[in-house]
Amino acid sequence: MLVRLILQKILMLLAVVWAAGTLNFFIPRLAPKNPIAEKLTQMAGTSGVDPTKIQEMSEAFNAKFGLDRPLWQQYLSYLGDMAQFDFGYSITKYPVRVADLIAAALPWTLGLMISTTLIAFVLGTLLGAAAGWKRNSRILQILSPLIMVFSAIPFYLLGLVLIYFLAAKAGWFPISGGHGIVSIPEWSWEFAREVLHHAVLPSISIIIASIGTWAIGMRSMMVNVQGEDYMTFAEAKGLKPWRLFLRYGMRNALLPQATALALYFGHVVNGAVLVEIVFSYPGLGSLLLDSIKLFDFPTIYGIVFILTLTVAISMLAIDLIYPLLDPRVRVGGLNG
Amino acid sequence: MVNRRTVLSCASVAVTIVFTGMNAWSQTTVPRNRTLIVAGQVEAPVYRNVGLANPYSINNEDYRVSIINMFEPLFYYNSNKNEVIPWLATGFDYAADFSAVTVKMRNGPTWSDGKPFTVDDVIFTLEMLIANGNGKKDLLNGAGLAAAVKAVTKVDAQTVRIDLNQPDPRFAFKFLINYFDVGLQWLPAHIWKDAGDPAAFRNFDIAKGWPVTTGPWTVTRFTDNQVFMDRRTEWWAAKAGIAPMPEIQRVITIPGGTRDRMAQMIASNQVDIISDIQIAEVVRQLVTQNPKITTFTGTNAPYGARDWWPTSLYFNHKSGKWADVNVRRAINHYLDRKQLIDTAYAGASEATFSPFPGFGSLKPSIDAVKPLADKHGIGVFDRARGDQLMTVAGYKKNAGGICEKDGQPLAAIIEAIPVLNAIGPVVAQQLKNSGIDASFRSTPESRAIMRDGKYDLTLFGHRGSISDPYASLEMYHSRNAFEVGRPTLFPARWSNADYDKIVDEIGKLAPDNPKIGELVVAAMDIWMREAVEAPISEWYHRVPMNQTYWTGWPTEQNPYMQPSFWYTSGSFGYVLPRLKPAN
Repeated sequence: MLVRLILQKILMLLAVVWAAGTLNFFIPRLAPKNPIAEKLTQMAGTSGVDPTKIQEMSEAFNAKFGLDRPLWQQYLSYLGDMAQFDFGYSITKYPVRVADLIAAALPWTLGLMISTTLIAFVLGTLLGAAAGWKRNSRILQILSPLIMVFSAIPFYLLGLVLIYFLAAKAGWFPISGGHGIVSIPEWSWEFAREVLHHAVLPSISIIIASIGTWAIGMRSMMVNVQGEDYMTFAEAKGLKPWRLFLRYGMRNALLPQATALALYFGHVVNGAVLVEIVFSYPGLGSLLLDSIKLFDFPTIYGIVFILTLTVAISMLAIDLIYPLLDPRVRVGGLNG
Repeated sequence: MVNRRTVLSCASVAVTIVFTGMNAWSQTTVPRNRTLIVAGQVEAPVYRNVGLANPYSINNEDYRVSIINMFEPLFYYNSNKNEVIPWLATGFDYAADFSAVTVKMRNGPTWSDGKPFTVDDVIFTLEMLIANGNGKKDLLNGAGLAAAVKAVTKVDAQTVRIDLNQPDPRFAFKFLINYFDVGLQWLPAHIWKDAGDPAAFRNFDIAKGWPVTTGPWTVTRFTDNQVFMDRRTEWWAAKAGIAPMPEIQRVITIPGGTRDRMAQMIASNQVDIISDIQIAEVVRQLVTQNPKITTFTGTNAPYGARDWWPTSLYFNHKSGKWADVNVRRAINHYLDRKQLIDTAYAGASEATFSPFPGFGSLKPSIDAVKPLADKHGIGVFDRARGDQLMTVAGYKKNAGGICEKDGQPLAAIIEAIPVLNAIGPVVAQQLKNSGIDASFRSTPESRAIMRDGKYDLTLFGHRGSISDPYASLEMYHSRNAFEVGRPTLFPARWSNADYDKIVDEIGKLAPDNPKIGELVVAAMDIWMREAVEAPISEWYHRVPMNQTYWTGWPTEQNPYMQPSFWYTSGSFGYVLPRLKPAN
């Protein structure tokens, strides 16, 4: 029974990946643009391409990248390539392989997003738990609306405000980039300090904007939990308030938060695209945007495929792990 | 017993060892006052093509602001002085009928790996490109060379003969002499012959010292946001006494990002030179507020060096809307160039009346066609005359003041690429004020619309003549008047058989043939009479240069080269050894 259920889930995962992959293939093709012709037009305006030979060169490059074949043939090749994780060559960065581009951008995005997500999760959850537990606290009553306001502000807008006040006006932080313009990336304390310094503003903008989401979720869960019978029973037993808060309140309220966190990690690879753009941060989001602007199909396909896969796998993992965390959602329960 | 304190202590020690150890391998640092920092405008916030040093790849936009300047040409050309500067070669001769060019190489240049630069390298480069132009067509310059060259032959150890498919007295200026975005990069045959597919060859390996060039630099770093070019210890040109050894020890090129960002960086002395800022008022503010910043024209307008891209308003000659010459001439009269320049460029430019940029070598042609421009009203603002011509064309102004014919108002969208956003709305408004229902549009699609000939009117430059008038004239030859849909960056798509005959005749004559003068006048008489386009203004590259760390930049007083470091000719390589430390 369990094996069958797992197989069903895996089949569902494959179906989701196929459907998303198919959309991923066709949506960029809806635009009536040929990346080769665009590139060569640009080159003809600046160097080395005879302005009257754009068509001939376009035809040569279309053949090279298989863009001259019927769309259905390109689609079948695409499915085969994705199944083998062969993303091929980037058109706008040829002869660089898409996998190499993703590998170079990924650490910046993961570094930024994992650390900020964890910090925002911990702070937001604690704040939400406290707000739900002590609903009469004056400080928390002031903080709660503030948190809600910040959670409604997009990352990038907050980023612009931070750049203006803390970078441009106060000069405390750099305006953009992942490190200084002339520094050499190396394993040194100095460089690590510089990277952290550059990461402060993008991190703060993400943390402030997402802390509220975690806090609001946790607060409502805590309010629900407080009304449960086992809480009344524990209180009647005379347990200390901090024990009630931590072991009975937070522990039970945390489960949906943990689920959301796991889901969120599936999206981490997406990066905060706009934050990366605002801060000229060299992550996956910037790479994706750049590829979309230039209609670099192989790079778009590679990145979106990775994003699809991470989200789908994280959802599968949650489906499989959840019953272990919560006895109420066991396989038997599903049958019942 | 392993407790938490033990684990933390061990982790701290391990991290310290890793960081200290790795730091020992880190790159040597060069003092700031021996480092030149260049902020080049590339499209992305970071370099896209890390580790690509193939000069013939179509994806060379990162490389062209940096490594391209390591390659040395056979000849440089300084348009400021109309001067050909022999470099890897000492001279060239044409056959009497211009069916071949014989090039004499210099004795002594060496590649950065110590091997001699020879005539075989020149032959290898040409033959590789020609083979590609005849076959795969995936390298820059391949198609053009394949169309022009019949054979390349080694005459002796110092001499190469290039036989042409058609007599061409300008072949050297098309391929052998490097200036602006014209010219070739010569490749070391001993490396490239084993490269396999030349379009897929990255030509980059720091451990092997690649790219191997004849210039005084070697690439020591190429990441997504930095290119380091370090000075080599030896350089053949310094030994030969034709150039000083560079005093710059390291050139760092970084992606400059937006113009605002680049302006901030040079204003705060973080970088030494940045890409074209374009907006004259911004450059004026830079040179006013930071006395260390200068431009090609110092602190005076136009704050830059003239480019080969004078701006015109193009009519789409494949569209019936502009079939009547009276309408085209009227639009020429409706444009007030002075107001355009004052409004869009804060007065920092010059009006034009022909497609020629105002380089000294073209001055005789420009002066010769001035009376024709006056006669046909090209470049002359005269709204009343324009109204008369519109009446002759059968237009009347309707109640809204818009010209109308057979009940149809004359409306037009002016397409332009973003770099012309400053001037576009002013042109549209001037036309509107004169009765043409014009609007300006600059979108990501505008370049493609213009390229495919699907526009009404477009603002664009030329990239034609620099040293002699033929290149600009040739842009209007009927062979370039493609049908709508076929891409070209010669937007006019105009054709005239009489004009073609004259241009063909000029094409057969050497640039210094005195007969060319009268032929230019004859061709331009047709061009002006037909009001092929509406010339507007010169184009300047406004490149701020910072003198905090480096002096000796090219200027109007010392115009030894163009300061534009992104030209694919690699002409900035000529500038680098001539920069002197400020202290």
